[in-house]
Amino acid sequence: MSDLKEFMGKKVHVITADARFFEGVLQGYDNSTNIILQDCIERILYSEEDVDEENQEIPLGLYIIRGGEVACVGEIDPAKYATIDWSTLKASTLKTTKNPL
Amino acid sequence: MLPLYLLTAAKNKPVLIELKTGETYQGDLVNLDPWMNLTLSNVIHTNTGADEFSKETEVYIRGMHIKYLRIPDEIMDYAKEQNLLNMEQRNKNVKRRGGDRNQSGGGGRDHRRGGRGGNRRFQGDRHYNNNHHYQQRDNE
Repeated sequence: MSDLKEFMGKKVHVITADARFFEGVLQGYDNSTNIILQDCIERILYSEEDVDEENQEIPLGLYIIRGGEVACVGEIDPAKYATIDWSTLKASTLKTTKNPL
Repeated sequence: MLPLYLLTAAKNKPVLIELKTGETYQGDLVNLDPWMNLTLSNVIHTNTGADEFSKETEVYIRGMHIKYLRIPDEIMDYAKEQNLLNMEQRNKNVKRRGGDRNQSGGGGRDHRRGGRGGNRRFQGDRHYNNNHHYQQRDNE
């Protein structure tokens, strides 16, 4: 099993099964990938088509996300992160987490 | 820190739970178990569309249906504090046991054996010896 240990205490992005995009400091996890995110925010990004929508950043505080919901956890590189302008960033819709057979 | 440990520290504090269905429950966390099954009191339930609300005095939520939980920010500091206190307590115990073993030299193994519930009765004299070492150390 790969390990979230290296991400402990660092800022991470989390993508959940319902296609939400969270950002926060990873403060803990367990065997079932339940994770603790401190100073958690949710980012809502719109695609090129949604012209009149503005990207949002919703402060959420301290969050525990159930392991079953976690699709992806990624460490943030602070240097690269600083160059991102979240308000103008465009993103395309995520594909479903369910694999059609 | 384990998520369940943090959640335990949030007992009697207001929490917000969203289920996989999108329904949310807001209330005071009464109790939880290792499967993250929870009981809440004084609950406000919101349906998936967030347009209907209802009040419940007490609800039981099965852990597997939870999507996420939101808990008050200060719980993190509280849990860390509790953790530290527990660690200190444990260190004290370890130190005490370790010191004993050093004093009695080869007898350390005996002590460990004596520590197990079942054998203890039959090693009453050895146990006494260990206590004796204790007293000696204290006098030194």
